[in-house]
Amino acid sequence: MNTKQVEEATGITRQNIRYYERQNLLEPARDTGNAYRDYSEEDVRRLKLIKMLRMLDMPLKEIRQVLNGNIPLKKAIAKQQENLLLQQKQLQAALEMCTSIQKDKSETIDVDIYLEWMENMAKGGSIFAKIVDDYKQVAEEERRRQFSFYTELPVHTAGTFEKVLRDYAKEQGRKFHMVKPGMYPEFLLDGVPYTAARTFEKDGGTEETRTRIICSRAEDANGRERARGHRRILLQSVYAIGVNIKRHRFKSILNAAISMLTVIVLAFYLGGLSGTRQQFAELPEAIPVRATVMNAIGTLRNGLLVRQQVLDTVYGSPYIGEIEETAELLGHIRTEGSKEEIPGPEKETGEDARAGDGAESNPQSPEIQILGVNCPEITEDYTEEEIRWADGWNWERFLEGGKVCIAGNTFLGQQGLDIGDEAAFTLEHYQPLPFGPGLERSSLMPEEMEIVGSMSITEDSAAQAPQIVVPVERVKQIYKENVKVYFASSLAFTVTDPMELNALKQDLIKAGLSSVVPEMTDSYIGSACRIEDDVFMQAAVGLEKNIALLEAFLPFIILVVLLAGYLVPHLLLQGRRGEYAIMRALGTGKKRCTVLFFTEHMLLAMAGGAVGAGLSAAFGTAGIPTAAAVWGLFLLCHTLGAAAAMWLFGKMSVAAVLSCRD
Amino acid sequence: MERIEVKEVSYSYQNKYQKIEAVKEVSCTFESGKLYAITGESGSGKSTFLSLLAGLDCAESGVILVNGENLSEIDRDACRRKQISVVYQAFHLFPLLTALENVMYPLELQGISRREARKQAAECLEEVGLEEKILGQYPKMMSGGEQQRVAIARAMAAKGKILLADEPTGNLDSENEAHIVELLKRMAHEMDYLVIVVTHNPEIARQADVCMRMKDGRMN
Repeated sequence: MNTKQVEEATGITRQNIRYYERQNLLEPARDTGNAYRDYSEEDVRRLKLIKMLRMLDMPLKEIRQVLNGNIPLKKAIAKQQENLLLQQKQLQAALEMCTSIQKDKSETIDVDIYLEWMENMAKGGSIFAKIVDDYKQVAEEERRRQFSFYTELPVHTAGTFEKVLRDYAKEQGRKFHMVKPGMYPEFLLDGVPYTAARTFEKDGGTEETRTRIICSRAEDANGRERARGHRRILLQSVYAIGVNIKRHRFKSILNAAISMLTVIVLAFYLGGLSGTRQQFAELPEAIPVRATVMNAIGTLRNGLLVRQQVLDTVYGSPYIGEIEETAELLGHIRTEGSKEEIPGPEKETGEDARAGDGAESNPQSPEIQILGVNCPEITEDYTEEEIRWADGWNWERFLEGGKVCIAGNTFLGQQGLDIGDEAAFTLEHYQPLPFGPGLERSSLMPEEMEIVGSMSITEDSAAQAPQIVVPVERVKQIYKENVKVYFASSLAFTVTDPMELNALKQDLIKAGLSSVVPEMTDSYIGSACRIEDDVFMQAAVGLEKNIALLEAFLPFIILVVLLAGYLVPHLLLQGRRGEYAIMRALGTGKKRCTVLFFTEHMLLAMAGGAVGAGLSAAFGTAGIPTAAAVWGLFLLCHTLGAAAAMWLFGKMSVAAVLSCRD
Repeated sequence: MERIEVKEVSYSYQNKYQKIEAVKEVSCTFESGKLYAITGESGSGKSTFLSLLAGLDCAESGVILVNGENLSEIDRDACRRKQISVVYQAFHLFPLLTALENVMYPLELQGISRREARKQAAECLEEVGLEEKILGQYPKMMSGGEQQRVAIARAMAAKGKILLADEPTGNLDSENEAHIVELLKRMAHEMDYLVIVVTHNPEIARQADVCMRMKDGRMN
């Protein structure tokens, strides 16, 4: 039953019904949907009982005991009957007193006599005293719930209000504590919470306006909470934001979608820029720039005479790596027992020098090509298979130097040797003529080497492959022991920092290397250097152009993101001007409105942007760090733009919007 | 007892084309327990004057005292939360909130728990005579009269005892108009509200306790 139906059923006004509820005599159920009261039959019966007992003048305190079942009804009625009889006696005594006073024929009533008479009667049977006590009880109860007082001070500020309350508490001898100052202050009086309000009344006698302070006990009945707390307001704000996002579904989705797309595009752009820069940085590794020392006219890259100065420059350059150096020697195998001195070679000059036949020193031993190497890669030109090493040997140990060699399988087969055997050689080398451009052969001291590895020469390279490979450090050692000037036979290297190619070229020029000039005089001197940088330069120039183009667009892209950050909230908020104006009209502070709208918008932008960044990272458009950086950049630009939009939004005239004057 | 004193208040605003002097040196006093009607032709400054009383705009000169406090010196947002409520011709309910949620809004704004706010909001809606079925409806599902009642219930929920109404019956038929006027009178006379109604309807003016007329920004 609703309130109206209950009114009709019980004959009790709704104001009284509400009063009984406030006194906790009745607690009707609430409709879960709309919170309207829903009175049951039991509630109606209860109200009728309350009405009956009130008509018997039973105090509410007693009625509560009856309703709670603490006192049986009949017992309560019996007690009330006693009270009424007592009241009857009191009234009778008062009536008799009134009759006596009326019968008094004196012109003036002797108040003292009657008072003494009444007080004696009170001592005898407490006839009047209880009435005085009752009044005090009622007044005290009322006083405790609500009280008021007048003040002479004009109360126009929070400070004055507090002062007035403090002074009042001090006069009453009560302990005062201000909880929330203001023009509707909340305070504690002896630990009991109160609120205060001012009213202005006209003094009936003087017609002057005076200030009355009304203090009411703060509602703290069962099941109700105190209304304040920053935490509650914060939680309510969070709830309001969530509810608003849900209610403005379309705008919320649009906001998030635009943010997601913006981040995806930004990630694509910045990922591309980052990727291109990465490609540029990795270009030397991807397209190595090789350089080879050649003769002046560029026809020879092996069998050269490369000076030590060039070698020092190349080995000392910070821009060079993966150096391949070889040194060629000629040799003849020395058979066992043959101790005869091998006659020194005749000095051959000119271009025939290289075609010379060293077998003249040992006509029965074919000439052997011995090549000193400084890295394994050189032998890969001649053999596809791995080197077969003696136990405990590998390239690292081999290249340290020492009297060791790797022999071709053919040589081993011809000489009947194997890994681990010692082989003795007579050695020769080519050196430049003292005068003129040619070469001459010159003997070196014989050398015994241990065969520590064997290699399978491929058929294709059999013609030019060396039969013996030695560490180039040993060749240098041999030259030193023979007091000869060392020349490398070939030199090639990788430019590790092609961006510093110009500086490298300067260093090489200082060392005596120049570019290949076909018109120059032919010679065996390694005086030119061919750098294969065409492909690299082409790629580098292309990437540089791409990077420059992308970087040129960067300010524009940032501007677009900033504009999007401004335009999106600006347009979306236009449709909510009315809502904003209503909130302001209802007393929501400008700051709170702004924070609510701004937070709602930025939460959606953050979520959309995060999804966009996640998708970009997932699909490889940008790496995770780049995607995260993009998200951060987007948020920064979007925040600035949204803040500008909110600032403009807050400048609108609320009154004009509400009056449809806007 | 609520009291508003207006002393020599003036206000002007700029539209696209010119400066409008909407309110010129208006002085008057309003007290609780009475229904005031401010009448005048369109453009006489009534609504602007009401927005000044509500603290939505700030007077350029003069003083508005609300219960002795200068409106231009206090927190006007707090004033609208606790003392002054406004209802409009266009009702201005939150379109995406139900009737109950609309009335709960000012209560939650004051930090009251959601549960308690529902309870108090339901009482206010019951007070203005709305049936239970209205509580869960959105504004677009309600009639004009019902929407205005919800707006008034929302004003009651805010606990302030000053109600300003800007053409509250402007969008209503005569039957609903009469109901709303009756409600406003009850609030003024039985619930001790200070009710100020801006209207150009002479019938409403006739039912008011005090009628003031504005013309060209000045009050008679």
